[in-house]
Amino acid sequence: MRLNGKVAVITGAASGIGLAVAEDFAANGAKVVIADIAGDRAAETAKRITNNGGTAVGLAVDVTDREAVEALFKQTEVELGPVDILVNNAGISIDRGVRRITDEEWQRTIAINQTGVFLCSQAAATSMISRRTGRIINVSSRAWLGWFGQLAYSSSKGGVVSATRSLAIELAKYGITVNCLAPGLIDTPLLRREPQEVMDRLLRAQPMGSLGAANDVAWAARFFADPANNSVTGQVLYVCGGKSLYAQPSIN
Amino acid sequence: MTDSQQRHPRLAVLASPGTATATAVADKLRSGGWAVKTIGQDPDPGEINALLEGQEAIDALIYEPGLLDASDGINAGGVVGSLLKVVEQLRPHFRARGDGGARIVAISSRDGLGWPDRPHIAAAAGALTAVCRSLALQLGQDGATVNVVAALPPHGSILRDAGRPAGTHLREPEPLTPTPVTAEDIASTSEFFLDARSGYITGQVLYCCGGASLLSSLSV
Repeated sequence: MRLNGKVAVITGAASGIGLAVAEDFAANGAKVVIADIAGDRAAETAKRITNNGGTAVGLAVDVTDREAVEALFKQTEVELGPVDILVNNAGISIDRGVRRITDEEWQRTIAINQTGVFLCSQAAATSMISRRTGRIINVSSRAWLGWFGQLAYSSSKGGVVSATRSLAIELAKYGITVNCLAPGLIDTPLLRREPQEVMDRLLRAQPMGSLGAANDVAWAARFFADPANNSVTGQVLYVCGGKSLYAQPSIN
Repeated sequence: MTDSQQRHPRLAVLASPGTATATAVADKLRSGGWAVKTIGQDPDPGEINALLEGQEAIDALIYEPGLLDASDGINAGGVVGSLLKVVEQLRPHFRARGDGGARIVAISSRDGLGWPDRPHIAAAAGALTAVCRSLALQLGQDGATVNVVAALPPHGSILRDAGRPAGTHLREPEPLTPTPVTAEDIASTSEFFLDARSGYITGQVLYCCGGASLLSSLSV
């Protein structure tokens, strides 16, 4: 699955899953935009990819800001050409139970995780519709199925699943596919901060008994981005080692 | 693992009654460097021994019971019973977890969401999903993944353009995308699940139907 010459905008691409997707796409021929709220880290990431022989541009963006998002896509077109692939990956997670979460935390989670998907998809779709081709990949989470203390996060990620299905239905006739990834436990620096006893408990609940890697998600994203992949749309693919098959809320 | 680092040739065993879909899958895998050996859906020990000749392990099993091409003769018990038997026979020979594990893909039908005129195929497809999810849990510790590709009957299948089901006003589901679903599309989706890099994806169903599954509440 090669992405030769395709222009890919990846939000939240300066770290974690977004970074893995950007590096994978660039290594497989795509011209990538590292779009991130941290503009300096986006620029550093783009420079590293370029030094490794890829084509990348780092751009700062706040995905909750319509003007900033529209500027991102205009700049992308100027520097690399019209967008072929959009990966809506930018997101935050605030873990707080229903009695403690604040209005501000709720609204911020919805704004970044859900409104960001809307604004970026709208901006990309305009160009994709005119060219009758495109790939949109949304990064949700296995947590959309629900979890302790994740009212805001799971609600926002559930919204991403619904958005994926509506966008897929609306955009299919233009040759645009829209799919969704729902990662489970992925080995990231953030997860590694958990105490060992928590890690052990989490692993015991994993059917495959292991953590995933950001590259596992990147590989699945490349499948959805493949220009030859015309008949798979509106899907939610869990990259979770089988955790989505085996709910065990009592472990918390 | 990069594209070039994958083991070649990896051995895929294709269990199928012999359909256009199975042929497309075999062609796709061979063009990707796989060695593909075919068996029937009820192999005897001699068949198993023969396909293992000269091979150290089985990397993949594709179970294609003909739900996308058959008009009759499908029964759910037979379809899932055959899969369980094949898995039981091959399991001792699957690639070990430490060496990447094995991949199992079942090719099923969108009819599993329900369709008049084809209740036997719908029942088999639904049962196949349930069995594959159970096998995914059962084989996870072995490092084996088990996934399902559920497709619309592809372009050229005798199940396409069959007209309105008798006694209903319903129209056959069509892709929302501009191009028809082909056997090659199904093969490509299967190949994704079979890839060594798909080792953290198990128990999943991908509908290869151009979006025709989306308005069913069972499709999430």
